Amino acid sequence: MKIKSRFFLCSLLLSAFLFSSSTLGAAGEDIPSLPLLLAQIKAGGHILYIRHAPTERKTADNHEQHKGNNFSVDFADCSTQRNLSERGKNVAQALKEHLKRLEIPIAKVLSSPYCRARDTANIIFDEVTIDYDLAYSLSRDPAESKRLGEYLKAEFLAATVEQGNAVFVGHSTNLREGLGVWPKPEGVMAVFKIIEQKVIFKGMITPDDWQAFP
Amino acid sequence: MRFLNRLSIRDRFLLSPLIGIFITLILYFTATATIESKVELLSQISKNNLPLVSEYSKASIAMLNVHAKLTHLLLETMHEPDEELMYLGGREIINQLYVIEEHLFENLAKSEMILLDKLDLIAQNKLAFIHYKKIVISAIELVSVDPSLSRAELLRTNILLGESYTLLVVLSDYYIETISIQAERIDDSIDSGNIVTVMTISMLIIMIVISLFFAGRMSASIEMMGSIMVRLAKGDIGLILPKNEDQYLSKTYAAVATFKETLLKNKHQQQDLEKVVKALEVSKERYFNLLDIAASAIIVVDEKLSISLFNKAAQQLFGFDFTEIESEDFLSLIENNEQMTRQTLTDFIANDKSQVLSLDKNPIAAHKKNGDIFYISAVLAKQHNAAHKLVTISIVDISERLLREQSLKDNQDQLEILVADRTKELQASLNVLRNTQNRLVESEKMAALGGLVAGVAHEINTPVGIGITASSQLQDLTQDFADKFDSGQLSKNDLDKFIEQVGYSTKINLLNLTRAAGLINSFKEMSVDQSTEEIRQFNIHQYSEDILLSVKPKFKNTAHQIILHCPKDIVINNVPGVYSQILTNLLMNSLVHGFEAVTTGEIIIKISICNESIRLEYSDNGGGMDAEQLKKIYEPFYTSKRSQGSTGLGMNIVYNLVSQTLGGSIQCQSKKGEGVIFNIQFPCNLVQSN
Repeated sequence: MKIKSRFFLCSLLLSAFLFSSSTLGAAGEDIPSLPLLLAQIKAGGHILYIRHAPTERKTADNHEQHKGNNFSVDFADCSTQRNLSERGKNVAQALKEHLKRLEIPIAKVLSSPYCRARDTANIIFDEVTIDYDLAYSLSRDPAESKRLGEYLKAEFLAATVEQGNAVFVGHSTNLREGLGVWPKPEGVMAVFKIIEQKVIFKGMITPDDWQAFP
Repeated sequence: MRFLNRLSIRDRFLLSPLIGIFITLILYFTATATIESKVELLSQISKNNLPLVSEYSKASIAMLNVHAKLTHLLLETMHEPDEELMYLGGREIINQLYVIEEHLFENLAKSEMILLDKLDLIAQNKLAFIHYKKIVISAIELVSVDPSLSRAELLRTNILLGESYTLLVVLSDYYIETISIQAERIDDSIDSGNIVTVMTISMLIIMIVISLFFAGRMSASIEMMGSIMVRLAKGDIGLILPKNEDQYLSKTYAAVATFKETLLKNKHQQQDLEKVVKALEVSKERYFNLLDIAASAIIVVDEKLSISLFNKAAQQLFGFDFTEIESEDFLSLIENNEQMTRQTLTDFIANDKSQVLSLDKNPIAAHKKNGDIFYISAVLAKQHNAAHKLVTISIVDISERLLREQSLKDNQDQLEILVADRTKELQASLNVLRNTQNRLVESEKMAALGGLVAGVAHEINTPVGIGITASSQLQDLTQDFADKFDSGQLSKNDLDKFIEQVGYSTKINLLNLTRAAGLINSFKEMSVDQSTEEIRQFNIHQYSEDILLSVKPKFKNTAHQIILHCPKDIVINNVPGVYSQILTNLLMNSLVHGFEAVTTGEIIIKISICNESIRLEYSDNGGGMDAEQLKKIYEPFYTSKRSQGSTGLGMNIVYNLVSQTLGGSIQCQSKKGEGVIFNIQFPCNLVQSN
């Protein structure tokens, strides 16, 4: 192989590495310890993405063709969807109490129109705004799925966080599409911060983690 | 058929295809009508979208592929449950399902509604695929949450794939069946196309008949012309041309007629030609006779130099008869020489560029029949139009001319001896003349010296005369004084008076004698200088003044003026006598020649020093000289006043003195009536040459 093409290959690999590390929000690096992360979100200025609480395992969403070629559930009818289980409701309730106890400041809450997300949001927070573009992206066609991911990222970048943390309640696939982060398990809170117009992933707090915080 | 005769060949050839086109058009419309009846059936097949069947097959295959991936993913998840990996694999499958859906629905939309057992087959297909897609998505969703559901979900999707796939197969079968029914219908109707076949064959027969007829008609006239031409070519000139009816071929017919005429003319011309050849032969004989009459010897040779013609003059010159010498080698007549060799002659014959060769530089020796040697010159010329290369050799006997040239040469030699003798005599008299010239120069010098003596004598005359007067007065006074002293009448007053007068007279004497002595001294110097050419130091201003003084008597009775401009401190080391001689000569020339017709002449002498050289500019406002005189001014013995005793050597001497003795240069400018200017330049310090 010629020197020139070797150099080209090297630079290609290097740029690929740089690109991935910047867009993936630094998945592995600079993630503070949980207490430190908690202290930071207490100070506000963060974006908290909460995946809906645990759901009923036996049922699935009943997707139908809706107008605008959206293959989706009927948002108004929870019976067409996979909903929160009893355990899920308890997890949400517990989260509400922990947030209150730890005095984490909340500015605005946006939620997916899916019942399992709405229910989770309504249990934890007093005021919730429904954003239809936060809807579950799995069933959507490739272009729409991608758009929803990008929409989420754009919303993160545009979020107002001066008076507390901005909260989004939604689904796993949207976050994976938009920011390359898979929130796991159900009910988990992923923490992000906007630094110099870049979304930086700070870490995740699972439902079990909250108990540990004094 | 008169109509055909009027047409051109091109039009006739076009006529047949035109009829062909007409018949083909009839055939075309008949065929079109037949085919149109089949088009409907064909378009049905096209509408029934045979390609769609292939598209549906492709969709079925794509579905099976995606399903295989789904099966793999779900089974994988059973072993290694991971939500994120499940999503990534699932997303890819969903994306592919959307692509298949798009293609499938696009093709389904192209089909018309098909009712089978009262069900819309197309709509059924769409619904079945959407249902399959839905179940696949929910399977991925559920399994990502709970991997243990994999197997159950896989079974569900399998069933739905089966439903959708079966419907696609039903649809494809329907199309294939329809197509085979229509194909049978087309086969049936094609039998009626036999009409076209019958028509085509009959048309072909008609066209062949028409073509044969036209071909026969068109070639008939041309063939007639051809046969006439062949007969003419064979020499049947007398044949009578048949009448031509074909208008278009009338020109060709006229050409054939002309051809016949030309053949007739040619026959006449050939007879004329034979006459001319005879005349030429006569003229040739005359040419040979002419050669015999010619005064100079003419020999004609071929390229091998064998003699083929030998005219009377040649026979007389060489003494051979033509019969004796014919076909002999030409060079056998010539003595060996460098000019006319076999090589030169053959080269000349071979070289196409040269037409004439003159061999007249040197005489060539030849011999007569009786062996006498004589000399010739020859000129060779090629004959252009001969079949063989022939060369005409013109020979001139130059023996007598050679003799004359020899005697001329003898005379010339004698003349040269005479001239040499004469030259010697002239040289001797020239030497005598040179000696005379030198003597004359000498005497000129002496004459100048004489002039100088006369001048100086005149100058001395005055002081000496005064001296004599004063002395004689003194003598008288002394006598008076002696008488009174003897008589005893001498008073003190007388004594005082005597002393006073004696002192006065002595004073006058002393003054004038001193002056005379000075003059004599300078004369002595000048006369000595004039007779020698010794280099010494002298003040040029002082010396010039002395020279002017010496010539003063000559200018005494004239109103001429001499003005000298010269710095007083220039001392040079040169030959003063020569300088004096130059200046005196110039002054005398101005007086004698320049001021001949001038009463108030003016001579200006300017002397200056420049770069170790003395520059003397001598000018007068005399009569000057014309160009002819100016040219000869330095020539010895050239004078305009020989009758008045001029020798014509003055300027020649000046020139020689300046250029040789002083080592300088002299230039003269003058015009008639505008005086003369001499520019003389010579070095301040002359180095003794010997």
